[in-house]
Amino acid sequence: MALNDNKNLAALIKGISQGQRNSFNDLYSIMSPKLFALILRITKEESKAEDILQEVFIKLWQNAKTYDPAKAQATTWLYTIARNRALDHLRTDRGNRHQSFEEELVAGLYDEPNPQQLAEHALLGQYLSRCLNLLNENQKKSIQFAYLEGLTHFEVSSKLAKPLGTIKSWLRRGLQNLSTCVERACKVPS
Amino acid sequence: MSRRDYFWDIISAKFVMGMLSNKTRQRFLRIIINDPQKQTETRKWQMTFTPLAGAVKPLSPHPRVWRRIEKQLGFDRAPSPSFWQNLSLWKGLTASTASVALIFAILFNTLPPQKAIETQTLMLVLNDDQSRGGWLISSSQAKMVTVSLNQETKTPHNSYELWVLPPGQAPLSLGLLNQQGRKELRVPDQLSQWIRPGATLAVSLEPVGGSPTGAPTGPVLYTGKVISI
Repeated sequence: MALNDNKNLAALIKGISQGQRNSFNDLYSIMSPKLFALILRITKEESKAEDILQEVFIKLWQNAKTYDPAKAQATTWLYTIARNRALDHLRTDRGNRHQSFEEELVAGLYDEPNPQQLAEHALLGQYLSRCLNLLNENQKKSIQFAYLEGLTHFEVSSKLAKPLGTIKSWLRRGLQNLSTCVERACKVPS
Repeated sequence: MSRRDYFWDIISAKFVMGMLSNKTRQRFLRIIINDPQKQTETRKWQMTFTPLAGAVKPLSPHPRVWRRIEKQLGFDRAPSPSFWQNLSLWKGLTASTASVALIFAILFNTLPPQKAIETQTLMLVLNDDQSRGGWLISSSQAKMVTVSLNQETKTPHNSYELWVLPPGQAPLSLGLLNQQGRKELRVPDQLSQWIRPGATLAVSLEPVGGSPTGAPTGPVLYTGKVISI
């Protein structure tokens, strides 16, 4: 997502915080297909994904004022809300409540004290796909299943038909390699 | 990277991925709540993973989702929220003094037989964009009596907040309205100067307990102009 897109989204979220319905309509038009696809990928059930998307946008209308563009990119904020809400439903179905976006907010995860760090973190995202492709196929699949489909270690293990210990090991090494790769990529001009 | 940093890096990533157990997540949150450095490290993973979410092929939801959102937020009966910015629209929102006074007399039955000259009684009906009355309000001295006119305004998940709009200034809250029945509000001294004939009042839909910011945060559902009777 380009910086300008994030700026436009941030402007729409600001408009929503001021009660501007046009901004809300526009944000829905732009982001609902992306958020819906992400939610559906996690829930695997269209009617549930629709319910969650509805919850997400109601939440956006009511809590848009909590968003500060100086603290987090608009896309990060929106995807986090949608993904957490979808995971929350998934965990509730499994009898294990997931933490909510509000808890992360309270925990300070959306306080960004340093704009320079924000810019550096934006770079991290840019290098993700490059670094993911450097992982071996098992590590990459484990991370993608876990992140994009909200699967637990056990579920990834079932999906890939591998022992739980193997999956934990793939994930751990995959994340370590990803972290190292992204950090290095950010230090080297592309 | 030390073993401890490595461990924390992996835990942060798994937190962002949603892979920690509920108990571990709670412990994680308790640790980072007072640790800006760990918060920064966790945000690093949030931003790292965002493009992965953005790479999912978009899929348009069924139009019924938007209709349900509009209904839940009251947009299907609410005026444009640009009202706060477009005060000139409110100039058209006037009510017939005679008919409003009649409603007032019937509902309240409190009209004094003879008004004291020095005490002005003010009133207004707050209408929605379909000119349906939502609340009837009378004001005398520092007291304001509000009566709900519309049973359809009931909503357990929101509060209705009353605002006065001083010319050229941001809206000022007069308090929350009862969704049913009658309620008395005391007008703060600093606001009483604005409650006068011609003044515009409005009702916005807010989270339960009222606007958390001191300014309207939800859509404007009802508006009206104060008249003297």
